[in-house]
Amino acid sequence: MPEAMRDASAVFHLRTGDRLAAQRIDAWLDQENAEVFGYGDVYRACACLVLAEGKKPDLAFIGLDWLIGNELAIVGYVQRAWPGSTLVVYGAPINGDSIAMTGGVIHLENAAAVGRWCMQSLVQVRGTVGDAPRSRRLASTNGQRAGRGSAQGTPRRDDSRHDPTGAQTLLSAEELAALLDRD
Amino acid sequence: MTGGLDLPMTTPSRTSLVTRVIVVGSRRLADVANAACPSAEVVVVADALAAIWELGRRGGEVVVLPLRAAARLGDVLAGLRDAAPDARVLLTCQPADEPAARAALPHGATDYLIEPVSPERLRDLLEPDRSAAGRAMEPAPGLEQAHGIEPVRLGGAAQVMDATELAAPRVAPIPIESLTEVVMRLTEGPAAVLVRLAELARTTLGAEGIVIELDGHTARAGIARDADWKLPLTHADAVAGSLAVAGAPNAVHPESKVVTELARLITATMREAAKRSELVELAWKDDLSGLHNRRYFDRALDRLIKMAADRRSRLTALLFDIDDFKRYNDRYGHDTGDALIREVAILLKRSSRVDDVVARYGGDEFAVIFWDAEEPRIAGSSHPTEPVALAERFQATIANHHFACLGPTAPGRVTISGGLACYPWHGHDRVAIMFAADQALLAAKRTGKNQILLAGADFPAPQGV
Repeated sequence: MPEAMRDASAVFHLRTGDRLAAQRIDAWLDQENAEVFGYGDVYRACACLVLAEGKKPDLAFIGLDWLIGNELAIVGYVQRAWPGSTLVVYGAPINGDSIAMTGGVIHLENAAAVGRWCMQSLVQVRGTVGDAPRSRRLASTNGQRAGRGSAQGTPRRDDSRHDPTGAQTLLSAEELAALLDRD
Repeated sequence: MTGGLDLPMTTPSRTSLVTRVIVVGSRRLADVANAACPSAEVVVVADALAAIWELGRRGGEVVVLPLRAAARLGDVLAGLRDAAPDARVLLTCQPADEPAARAALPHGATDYLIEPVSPERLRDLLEPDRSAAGRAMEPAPGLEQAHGIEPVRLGGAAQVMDATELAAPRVAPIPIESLTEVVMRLTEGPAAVLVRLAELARTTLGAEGIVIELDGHTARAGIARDADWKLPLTHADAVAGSLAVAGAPNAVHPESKVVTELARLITATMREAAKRSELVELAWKDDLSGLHNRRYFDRALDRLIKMAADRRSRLTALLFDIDDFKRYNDRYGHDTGDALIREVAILLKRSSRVDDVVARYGGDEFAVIFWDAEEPRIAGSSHPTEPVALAERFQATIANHHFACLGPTAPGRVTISGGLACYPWHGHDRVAIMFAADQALLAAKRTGKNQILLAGADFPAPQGV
């Protein structure tokens, strides 16, 4: 078990997302002096989950960009292993695979949303996300995707595929700011 | 038999019985595991990730993992080892995938089995102690004939042996499933078929090692050691290769019926595989240019995109055509137009890298897939520039080439216009990638020709606008 896992305030980071977004989150966690245990692949991360034996982080980040097929199930496993933790996913699966978001998941869909998230202090985040409505999707209003460079010529992904139930909330920039600034 | 060649056995020696087996993705494999180890609980899970979860949460001594079920095998094995360091991880694979399975042994796999897996072979690995005991009770080689043992039994039904059977000499039945597999997969080509035939021969003859050399191909099965005897394989009364056998029961010798029939089966199957291979080649080849045709290109692009996704690597498609090709056709005739296409195809092949897929897409359109044969890249890597340079090099090669078919009256240089599109930046499947490349090609045409544009770039304004 990673040493950081013994700390209930540790942060889990599965770095299978866009590199720039992952670096942004790591830099933010470093700046906030967070105890981070990170993994570069989903399988070792899954082994970490099953070996946790009741110890859990209060915040978990999962990058979606490079997860393929059944690897997306890691989102569900994290929720099952650490049911009380706040789970933040960022990016979108590279194959366009859909991901069923259940309760307790915050989705930072693009670079702007990741950037906004990282403008908060960790203390603020820990103080607010526990009260946040379940399963939110956070996106900027200009539709730019996280770290994907130019969107010109890129076929647009049907956002509804990521929201099969249609029940998730898409926040405006103002709503997001209000949510994150709430103390 | 584990399918390993001259590798050390890594199966841990243990006395504990197997109580829980986790099988990934295959109901049929689970049935085999149940037959091999009836006292164990056999759990089927959907994928490798679920296996790690199940293994870590509820435990288990053995994980049976088909090679095809793990796209990122190294990561999967590391995860399984982390979750349960003492568990045995048994891979199953097609004969043609044996090298990949063998390569996985140093990375955490305990052993591997060639498909189709029989309960007997799985039990050898699930309960090594029992198998070892069984082997210890076997009479010494050479006693088979004295016991009147028939070397080959027809019918491939797997049976659970009792203690009496364990004490008897082990002679494998003809693996009818393996024969079916060989026939069903003839289109994989002679080299892959010969690998399957070698494994089939080893199992059928009960040999320790087999080497078949035929029609320029060589395939091995079992352990590597000097052959006890060698049988020439003939085709049309001429020697076309050989079957070398090591460690077979004494009842199996070059003159025995099973061996001569097996030799006929091997040569006939390989002949058929060669014919099929020729037909496949014809189906995928463009007659005029000698390049692959669009059907092949589409299949290759589908396959390579999937591989790129698995390996987190990039891939670039180039689509281009000859500028004003109709003009050449009208002025010089269709024969010259055909010759022009052939010359462009030759230049394209010369300018491409070994692994690039080059095809005639239709008419005067050509397509190339540039892909990374090297290690996967990290997620979020920057936009590729190398394929752009390759495409520009090819464009310059065409522009500077003197096309003999056009003679001295050629109306200036032959030029091309093209579009480049990259996975994952411009699409996640073949249709999206080719659409993006086609859009870039159209933009190149609209904005002056004789250029190759990258999809998604800021296209220059059309000429005259």
